[in-house]
Amino acid sequence: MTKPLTRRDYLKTAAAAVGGLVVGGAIGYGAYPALNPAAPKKEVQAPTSFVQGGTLYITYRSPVLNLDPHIMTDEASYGAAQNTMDQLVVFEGNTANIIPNLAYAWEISDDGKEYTFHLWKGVKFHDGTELTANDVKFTFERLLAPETKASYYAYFSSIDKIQVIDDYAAKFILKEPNAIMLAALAAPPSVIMNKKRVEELKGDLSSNAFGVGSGPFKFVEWKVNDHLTMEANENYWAGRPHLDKIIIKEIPERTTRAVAVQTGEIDIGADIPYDMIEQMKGNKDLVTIDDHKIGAYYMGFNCSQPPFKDNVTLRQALSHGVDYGAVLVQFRGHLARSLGPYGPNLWGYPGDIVGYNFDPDKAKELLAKAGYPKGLDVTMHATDWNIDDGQICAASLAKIGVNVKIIHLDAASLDAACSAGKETQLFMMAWGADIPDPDNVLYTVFESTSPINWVHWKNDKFDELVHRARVITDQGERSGLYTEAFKIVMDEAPAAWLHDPGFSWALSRHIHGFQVGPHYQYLLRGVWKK
Amino acid sequence: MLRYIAKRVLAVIPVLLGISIITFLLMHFIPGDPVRVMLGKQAITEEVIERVRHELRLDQPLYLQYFSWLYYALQGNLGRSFQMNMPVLYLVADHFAVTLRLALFGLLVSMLIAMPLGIVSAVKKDSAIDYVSRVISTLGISLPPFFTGIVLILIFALYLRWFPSMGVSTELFSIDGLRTMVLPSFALGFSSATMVARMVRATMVEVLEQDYIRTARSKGLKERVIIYRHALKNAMIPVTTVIGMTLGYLLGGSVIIETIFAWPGLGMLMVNAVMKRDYPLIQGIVLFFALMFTLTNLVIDLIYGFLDPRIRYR
Repeated sequence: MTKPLTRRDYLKTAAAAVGGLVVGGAIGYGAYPALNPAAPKKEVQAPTSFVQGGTLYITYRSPVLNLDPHIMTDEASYGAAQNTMDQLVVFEGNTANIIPNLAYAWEISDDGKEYTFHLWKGVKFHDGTELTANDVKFTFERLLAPETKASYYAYFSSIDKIQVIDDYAAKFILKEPNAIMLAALAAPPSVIMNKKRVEELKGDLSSNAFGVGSGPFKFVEWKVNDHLTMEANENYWAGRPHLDKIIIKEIPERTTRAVAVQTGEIDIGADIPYDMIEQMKGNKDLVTIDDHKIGAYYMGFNCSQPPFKDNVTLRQALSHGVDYGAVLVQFRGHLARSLGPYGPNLWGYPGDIVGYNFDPDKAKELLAKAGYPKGLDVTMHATDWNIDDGQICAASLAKIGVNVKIIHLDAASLDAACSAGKETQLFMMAWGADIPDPDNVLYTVFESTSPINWVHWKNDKFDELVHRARVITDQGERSGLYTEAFKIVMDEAPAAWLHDPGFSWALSRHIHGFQVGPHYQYLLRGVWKK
Repeated sequence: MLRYIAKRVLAVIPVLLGISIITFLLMHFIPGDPVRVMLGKQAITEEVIERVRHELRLDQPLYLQYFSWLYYALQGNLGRSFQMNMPVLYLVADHFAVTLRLALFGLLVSMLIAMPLGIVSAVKKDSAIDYVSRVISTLGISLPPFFTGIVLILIFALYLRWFPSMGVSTELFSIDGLRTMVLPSFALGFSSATMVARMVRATMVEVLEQDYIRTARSKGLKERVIIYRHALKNAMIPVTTVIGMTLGYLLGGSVIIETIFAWPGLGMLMVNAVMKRDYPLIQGIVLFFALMFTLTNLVIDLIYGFLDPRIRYR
């Protein structure tokens, strides 16, 4: 018979453990406010003027992957580049209006092939070098150089050469007119880079981008997957920004981001889950912003393979068979229905559009007409970020006799399957415009030779319209062409459009002046914190 | 002894070679094109895609690509990440420190929970305490670390504000640094703790029923001495195996905890690398994990020698 542990021994151990927990908790609780001195304890009056200073903690929905504007392809890197570097022209807030930035004026020749930009004098890069037309020439020659492997190459491939007229004027000479040239120049990767500094770094910006840009904030340090630090550019040509320092903190998990904003560890958080947004509505210290982009999430039909090949009626039938209302429920009102490839938030949108409504009876009628009176079996390829939409579509289609088998892949595999177009029938996809121009939605996604025409749809009249709209510069004329093209793609229904792309931001009430651009890039130039 | 260690270290080489070949083949056979992922969905022309593919030598036959990688790897050059264009070795080393810290603290928490729980359970077998601790064990195994992590954040970071919800501090030995360690270590340690606890309990129970324990008692030794000096040391041998496996699991399984708590570790790096088909980075991280595993096993085997004098290595 073993002698058990005495009660005394046991109680001593337990007391020590509990004591330890209590002491640890007390330390934690007491020390916590010191961690985040900016977390306010009292009511704050609305400021009557800007407040200088302070550090902003911001977190985006994905980590910064790259510091080189020419190579970066992800939204987070765009955000970092946008605040440390400048483009020739920019978009006004979240609109498609183009306004001067480094270039205070520009002229476009009558034939649309020559763009001359006039630069402000005395703009300095962060290492003190002056920004001149030579830097503009260098930047775009580097973008177009094959060794750079620039992601925006296709948007600028129409450039023949760049001429330096004098130190403060640069002329872009194009091979043919390109209506989206200005918009492309306002995009995040089109920032002007410091020739001297890039050459010093031997073209390798992978770990250090200091001095490459002229933007409102200077690059300080980047710890991959952890944080990126920027500080105010005292000599910014448009005036010193209000904030002293910005720290982009990487938090990959949505729930954690939401918690971090609520505890005050982070001032601005992107992509907060919608149910937590509802919770936050009661919190007086937080503000939420809904961010919408141009484009749409859609359920695509592979138009190069049966059953959807050459069968417009079938596609229209399924377009009527999706319960769009049910799809929208998950967004709790934060995202709206998209009737077509983009919504009324961009010009060229036909005002008289009707779209496909959820009408199971009409759907069944069209199914019969299309040759499938008893319904049919189809597959649907989807991935994590669109599987929810996919499941809801599949559920409503089941009710009209279309049995959908969902194939859940990872994102890269989905891209590969859609691109190949051999096995896909239905698939879930989305496109948000890189450049807020109808060309970037209609041409880019639906032109028959476009690499991301994953619906593999071809319509000659549509192609003709979007090709023509690319080379003329008069917006009114282009708008007419796009409206016509839009209607064609709606009639032929190569996809069932669901909702616009977007997510919600949560920010502390003490952040003012926060704006987001059309590429999801956050604009911190005008932000102040009080 | 030294000969034994040398033999074991040399044996690591074919293992790593084999793993690198398997990883290489697996990567190339899953669908998904790293070039397209790298260049983004932007309207890239086929011409640009082919050009980049050629530059990255991805259009060469597989065996050439592998041997080219091996040639550079043997010189210490693991290539550059496709998506970040940074040297793989640098990225792995940079992220490893964080993962190691998390795994070690997770192991510490694991031991702190498992050992007392297991010992008390064994000593007071079938008592109320035993049942309670077995319930806790079951909870620990059933609750996934993801769930535990999020719940801990909601309770201790959001409602109680005792600990930060995320992030890792650069200074480990400061109040700040230690506070960032608490929740993630606990989330990670809790589920593995229970495995170890059950193992400790099982082996202790077995050992406590041995004859030499009865002898020790009849000699009049104090119970505490019996438990710690005699029983525990013998029970530790199988438990050491489990600890070794646990460390391996913690090193690899920390990816979820790293993601939730925003710790820039190897797990997070690996997941992103696989999703983006970043071949050089995947290859580098897997190689590194393999190395860690094999070295950990070697250390565990050596610890046996210390624990059990009957085991001698030649």
